[in-house]
Amino acid sequence: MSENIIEIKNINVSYGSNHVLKDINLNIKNKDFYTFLGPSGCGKTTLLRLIAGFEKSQSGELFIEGNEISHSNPWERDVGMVFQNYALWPHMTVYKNISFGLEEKKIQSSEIKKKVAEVLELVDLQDLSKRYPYQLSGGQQQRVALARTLVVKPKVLLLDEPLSNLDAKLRVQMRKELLDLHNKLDITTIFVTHDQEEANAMSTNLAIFNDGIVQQVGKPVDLYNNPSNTFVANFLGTTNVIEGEIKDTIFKSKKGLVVKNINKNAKGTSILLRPQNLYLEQRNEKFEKFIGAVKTQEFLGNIVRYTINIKNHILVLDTLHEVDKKIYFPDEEIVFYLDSEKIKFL
Amino acid sequence: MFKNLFLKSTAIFIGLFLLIFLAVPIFQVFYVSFLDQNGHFTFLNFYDFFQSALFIESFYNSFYVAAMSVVLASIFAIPLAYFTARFNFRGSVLIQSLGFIPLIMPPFVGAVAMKLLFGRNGSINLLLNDWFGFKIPFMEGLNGVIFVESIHYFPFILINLITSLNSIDRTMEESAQSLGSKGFRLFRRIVLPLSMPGYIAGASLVFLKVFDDLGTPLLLDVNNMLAPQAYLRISSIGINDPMGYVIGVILVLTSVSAVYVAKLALGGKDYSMLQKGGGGMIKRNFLPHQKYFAYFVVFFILFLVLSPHIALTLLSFGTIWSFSVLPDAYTFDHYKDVFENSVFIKNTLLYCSIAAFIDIVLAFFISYIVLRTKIIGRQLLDYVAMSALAIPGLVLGIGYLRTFYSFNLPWNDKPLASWWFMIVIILAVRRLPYALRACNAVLMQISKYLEESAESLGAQKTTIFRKILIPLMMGGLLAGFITSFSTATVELSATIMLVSTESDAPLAYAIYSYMQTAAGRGPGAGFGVIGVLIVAAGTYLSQLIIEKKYKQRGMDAKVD
Repeated sequence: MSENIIEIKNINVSYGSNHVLKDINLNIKNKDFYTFLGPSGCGKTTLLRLIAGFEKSQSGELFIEGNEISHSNPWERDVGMVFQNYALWPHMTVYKNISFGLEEKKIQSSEIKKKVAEVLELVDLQDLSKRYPYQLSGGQQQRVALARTLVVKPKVLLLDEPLSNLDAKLRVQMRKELLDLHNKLDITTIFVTHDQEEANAMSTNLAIFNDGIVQQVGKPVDLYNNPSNTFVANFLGTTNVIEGEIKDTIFKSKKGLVVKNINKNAKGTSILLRPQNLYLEQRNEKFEKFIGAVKTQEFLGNIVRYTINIKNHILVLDTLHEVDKKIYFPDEEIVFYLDSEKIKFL
Repeated sequence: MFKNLFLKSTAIFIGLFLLIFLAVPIFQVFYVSFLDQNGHFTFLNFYDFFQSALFIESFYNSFYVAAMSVVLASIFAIPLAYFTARFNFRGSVLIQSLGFIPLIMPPFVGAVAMKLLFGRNGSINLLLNDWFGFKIPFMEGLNGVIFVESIHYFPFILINLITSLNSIDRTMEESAQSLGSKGFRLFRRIVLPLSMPGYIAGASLVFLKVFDDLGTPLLLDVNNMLAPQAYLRISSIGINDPMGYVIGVILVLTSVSAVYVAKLALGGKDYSMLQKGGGGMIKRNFLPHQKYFAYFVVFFILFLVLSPHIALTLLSFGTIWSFSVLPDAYTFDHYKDVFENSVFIKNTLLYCSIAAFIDIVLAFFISYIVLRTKIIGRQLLDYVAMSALAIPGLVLGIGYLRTFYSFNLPWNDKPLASWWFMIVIILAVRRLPYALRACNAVLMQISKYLEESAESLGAQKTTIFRKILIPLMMGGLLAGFITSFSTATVELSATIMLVSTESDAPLAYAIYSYMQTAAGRGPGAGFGVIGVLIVAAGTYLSQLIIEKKYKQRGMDAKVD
């Protein structure tokens, strides 16, 4: 068996004239925490539901552990899904919700009891087994949904935006718990989200979706450092994208902004600059100096974010705020520096 | 403060109205059932009731008929609801609209006509006998009541069940599927329990309606049931006979316990509130042979549903219809009779419009007081007004007769109970819950900030009512008015007790009294058709208004 537990080959899904997934190819490694990241409507949830068996593809193949399963029913796949709205059955207690899958597998009742108790302990809900879902908080419901799926030991755990219904504080806590569970159980997990921060913090690998197409695949840091297109660059954090031409070691934008000392081997029609790679102080003599006008200023506490107008380009600059550091205001002249080694090209 | 004084006195006025015209009459029924001939307290009347073989049989029959009607209505409703909710099925629209048709006509109107279609020598059995040599006793005795009632009331189950199924989130099934569940097991463990709230709500409504119905058994000559017994005791022996009241008490207690049992069965859980997405079950396409089967079932039930209407129309145009599949010949003579006696129609239009107007005014103020003020006892107002739903019309009628018989009108010294306006009031009380529901629904959608912003601009409460609330609520108020109006036109069981002279009688009473003689059936059916047309027009109109309201969603979105 290959190290890939899931292989997705040339998958296409359309609803009528709406082509939702276009020729998707992905390999997901065993024990990976794999994220499908993208804006809403990009096809990421459709692909997840396809793996679970709730959607049908018009063409392509889907392998789990080497077996082609794109024509098998959801109940034959051994794939566990946690839904965005948790989908806890309101007419069953926590215990009943969790034991459901074991009962369907015709497991002995003494065994069921043991397994449910184990998984309840795993998600720290031992005392709530007799409650009904409506008596639980959002975070507790979430954990019941996880327990219900984990108890049957599926080959793959699918999580459909599991954190989106939680408040900000709980979301950060659940992130940690999810990762802990993943590490403890060594279960391959596919996580769908539109939140890049979540994706970066949690995934071992991620696939960025837009418009039904996989834009780029890789480790979070690699994607951040080397985005393969402007969509990826902008979706993973903020980026200044300037279109223009590179000749020798000089970049010249259409509007006339010039950047010198460009890497000899650089190729492309745009340069990418992260806001934190523009500086207010000249840390190195190789840094190139620019003068612009402040357009807006946002004071975020540890960071001050400026947008700067230069030659009719609007650039975003983030600077670490140290106590008593000067703050610029709109229409003020601002001097900033650029490290040409941090420029990426598209 | 003026505004509070105005609302408080309105609340007190409405409270008094409900006390005098709802609480006191029902209390009277209970009170009299515990009195002996000398006016002393006694349990003897109840003892007598349970000693009488006739009453025991009547009780059993009423119970049996109501329960069997629920069973038969379920057999009609469940497949239709399931087709609609589960499958991509063009017949769904047909099913949903088909669900409203029987509600337009109360069962007693078509009861006699149904005998001519399904009776021992009715059209269907004549055909069956010709073709296959046997007959089916659709209309024999209690069967007839069950058959007619379930055809008319199955939509209560259908509509509630469809609502329930459509509020099941598809992830409910999907999560079970990915845990290895499928087919009938999945249906039994997930879909069935989740659809129970709707089914129970519908089934208990059917049970109540059938248990309390007076007109249908009377017109089908089935007297050994509770409601007919109560009516016959009071109308033949007199208003001092305690047995009528004892039966009244038993009707009320059974109604209330049916509601209670239904509540208990639901366990106080409203699943639809807990499922965030909604949107209904996973939809499938029919296989070809399933599709034919589904259409067959739909058309079969469609035929049953329309049969009272068809039979009534035939009866109203037919000359003689006896021992034949169709009437011998057709005529307009019955309608000539109808229009010569149009006083019944005039009465009904008058009574019902006044009653519906009273309803909508009361309902507006009750919902405003409940939802927008902190007046003490406001919930009680709402609760009492809604409780009219659980009180059988017949019992309320008996209560009115008893309570208002002893007061005389100042201008002609006749008892208050025989004054036509009492019919208006009893109709208003009976239909108040409908109007109240409509008002509550619209007022809940209107943000109270709209009123507060008017208030902060210096508007008085009356100005706010006139310029803000009433224009915004107009659609809902109108829909409530029409619902109250059109369902009141065919109300029989409450008014039958209060009609003292023919010239004061409403349409429903005319249908009932004409239908009792063979010669009167034609004109009676004619009146029935007129009644159905009024209700149908009303229902159509209120649907139109509600739909128009939906189209104005733009406004609603801002209002929310």
